[in-house]
Amino acid sequence: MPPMLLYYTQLKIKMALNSNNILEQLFGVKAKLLKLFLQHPQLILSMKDIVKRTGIKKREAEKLILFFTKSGILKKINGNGKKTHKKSK
Amino acid sequence: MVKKHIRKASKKISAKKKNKSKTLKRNINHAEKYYQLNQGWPYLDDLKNLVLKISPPSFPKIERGLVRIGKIKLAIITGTFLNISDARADIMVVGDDIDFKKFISFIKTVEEELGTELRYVILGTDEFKYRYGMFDRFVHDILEYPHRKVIDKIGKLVARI
Repeated sequence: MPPMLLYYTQLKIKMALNSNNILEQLFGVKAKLLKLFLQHPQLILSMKDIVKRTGIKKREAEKLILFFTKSGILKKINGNGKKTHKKSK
Repeated sequence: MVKKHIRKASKKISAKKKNKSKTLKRNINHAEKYYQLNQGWPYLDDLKNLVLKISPPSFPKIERGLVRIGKIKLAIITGTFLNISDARADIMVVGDDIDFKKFISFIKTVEEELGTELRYVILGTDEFKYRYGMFDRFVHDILEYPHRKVIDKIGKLVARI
């Protein structure tokens, strides 16, 4: 590794360790969303609420939530209170 | 002639009905969707431990934010900051000449970071002294619960507790 690049990577690591929020340095915006849901497991939030509470842009929030619902961390609930089920083919 | 009119009218009515049904369907399709943590996810506890242990609230940052707001004599943090669910408030700020706009924007940024709504109390120094002196339950509850003083310039008065 060239010395300048090594210096910058070391600097980045130092900054990450010094900053209070290591989690966001590690996982980026995903950490905010995860924290929101993990701190309040019983909360049921709409997209609007999520955007308002986390300060993430709507498009980004939509992408992340799609990822989380697909991976099973979050579950989707319809406006009428029923859980959504995938149609069996 | 009359038949033609009747046909036209019936067509119009049926078209309106179709439109109505379409709009209804659209409303149903656009019904808002809500999201909740899936309690049955197998790695939930591990993820919870990792996320909540790594990210404690940054007290120096809060202090820096509060100093800019006005002449603050005392700032106490409890509740969601220290994972105490039954505390009566999350932040209590005592001071004078507080810029409320700045304070509200500060609270909003902290709320965004924490992902929760904060309950805050702002008191003037004289009011705080008066309430403290007359053993006001609200003030004493906040001081008796586990808390952390971010700014403390009224030390002598509160040090007794």
